[in-house]
Amino acid sequence: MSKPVIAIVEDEEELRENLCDFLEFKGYEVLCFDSGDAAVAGCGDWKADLALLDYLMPGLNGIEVMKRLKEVHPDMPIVFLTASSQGMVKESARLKGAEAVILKPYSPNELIETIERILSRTA
Amino acid sequence: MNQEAKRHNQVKRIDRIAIAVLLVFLGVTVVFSFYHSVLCLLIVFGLRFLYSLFYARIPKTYWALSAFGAALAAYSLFYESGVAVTVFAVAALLECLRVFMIALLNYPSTVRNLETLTQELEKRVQDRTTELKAANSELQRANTKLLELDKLKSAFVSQASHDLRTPLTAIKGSLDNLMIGVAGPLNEKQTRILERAQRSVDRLTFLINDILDLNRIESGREKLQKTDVSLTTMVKGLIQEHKPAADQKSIALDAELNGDEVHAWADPHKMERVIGELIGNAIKYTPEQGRVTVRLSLQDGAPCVMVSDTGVGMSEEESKKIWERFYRTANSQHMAKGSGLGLSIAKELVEMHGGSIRATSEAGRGSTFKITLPPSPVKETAI
Ligand SMILES: Nc1ncnc2c1ncn2[C@@H]1O[C@H](COP(=O)(O)OP(=O)(O)OP(=O)(O)O)[C@@H](O)[C@H]1O
Ligand SMILES: [Mg+2]
Repeated sequence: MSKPVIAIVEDEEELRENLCDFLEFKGYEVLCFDSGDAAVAGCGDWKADLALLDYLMPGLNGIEVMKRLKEVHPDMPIVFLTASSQGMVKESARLKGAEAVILKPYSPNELIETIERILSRTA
Repeated sequence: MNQEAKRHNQVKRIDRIAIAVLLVFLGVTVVFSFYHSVLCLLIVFGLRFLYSLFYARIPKTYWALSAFGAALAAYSLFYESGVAVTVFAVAALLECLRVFMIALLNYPSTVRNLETLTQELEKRVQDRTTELKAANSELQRANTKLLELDKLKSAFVSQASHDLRTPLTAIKGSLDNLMIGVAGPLNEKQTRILERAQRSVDRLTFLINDILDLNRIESGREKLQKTDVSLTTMVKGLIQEHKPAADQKSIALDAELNGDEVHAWADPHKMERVIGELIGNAIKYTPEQGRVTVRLSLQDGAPCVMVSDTGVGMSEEESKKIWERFYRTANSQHMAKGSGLGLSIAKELVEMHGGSIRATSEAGRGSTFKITLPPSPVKETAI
């Protein structure tokens, strides 16, 4: 069985690299994008089993990125990472089709559990 | 004031006696000289009426005149003399004239006085009104400014906390990666050093979350999602959760849930947080070998949660201040770390539910925190 692929869309370099290191270490193949625009631009060329999106980004924000990605990959589960703890964000994101919302700073366990739960469901 | 009233009473009494005497006199004279006596009496009573129009109190001249009238009436009674009555009538007329003249002379100044008085009063009222208006608009301006500032503060706090979170997430992520061995296995010392950094990052995270939460509650953005909550189940879960921390300090952590299950109509996450904070505090501020007990009860239908400990406790003065944000008692500070926000949040959350939270404590002996929630509206379905 090939490694599951996870796409990361995060504008903060440090966060992106940490995520990348972590998920690769956990045995995933990782696709990194440093902005919503970059992820959307060639989204016909790549496919992932799950996408981790930052909620607030300059340019296209998380919700818009999700909308565009869903147009091309309607079955790809989306998980949001957000630094604003407002319940509002959680609600609106989930209503619009995200699988989960994870609050920053997240614990590695929380992140891995969420990813595994979603992947086992969609596999 | 008292003397004045006394004098007034005296005048009244004399007045009454005078009238009685005159009436008796009238009764007697009616038989002999009806015409003259009645005329005298009419003059006396007419004068009295006139006086009452112009004077607040009957002046002495009236009594003098009445006595004079009575004497003349008596005289005319025995001598059947119309002259006496005429003399009296003229005297009474002159007195009437005098009273009129005085009243007439006084009239303009009285009116003037009244007018100036009215004007002064009006001016004063106007002055006060403008003063009040100015003060009111000042207050309104201050209030809008305060509201604006409050909004600004809320926005600032949430923006600052948000901006703090991003680098914090990066630090935490880096530490976590090292800890789980992304960069290879760690020796014991390296692990210890990293754990120290992790603990500090966690504290900072909690602090930021608490500040954000408090900010959200204060600005009214936090909403309750109430359902039927089994406090019994919740407390059992919380005891399990806090057992490791209690065991570490050899503290006996127990629940006394005797009797029926206790239900409340509340937001489960928020109540869990409140009770968890109380249990956490009790463990934090109780020395080793101590005891922490959670009790549940229904008091007149109102669900109550009590968390008692045998810890450091606090003075009565301190127990009033612990609800203030960032306040920590002197004794507690070298027992455990904390930011002093936990109880502020707990109080806000309990009060949002319409409940109350209280602390009773004795320094050095222990503390008891008691939450009382409003009676659950869905008793039947709660079982
Ligand atoms: N069970 C207790 N026994 C003695 N003192 C207590 C107890 N609970 C609270 N206090 C006092 O009240 C203060 C405020 O408590 P609070 O929970 O708000 O803050 P904290 O526990 O210090 O920090 P944190 O914000 O992390 O909870 C504590 O610092 C302590 O001095
Ligand atoms: Mg506390």
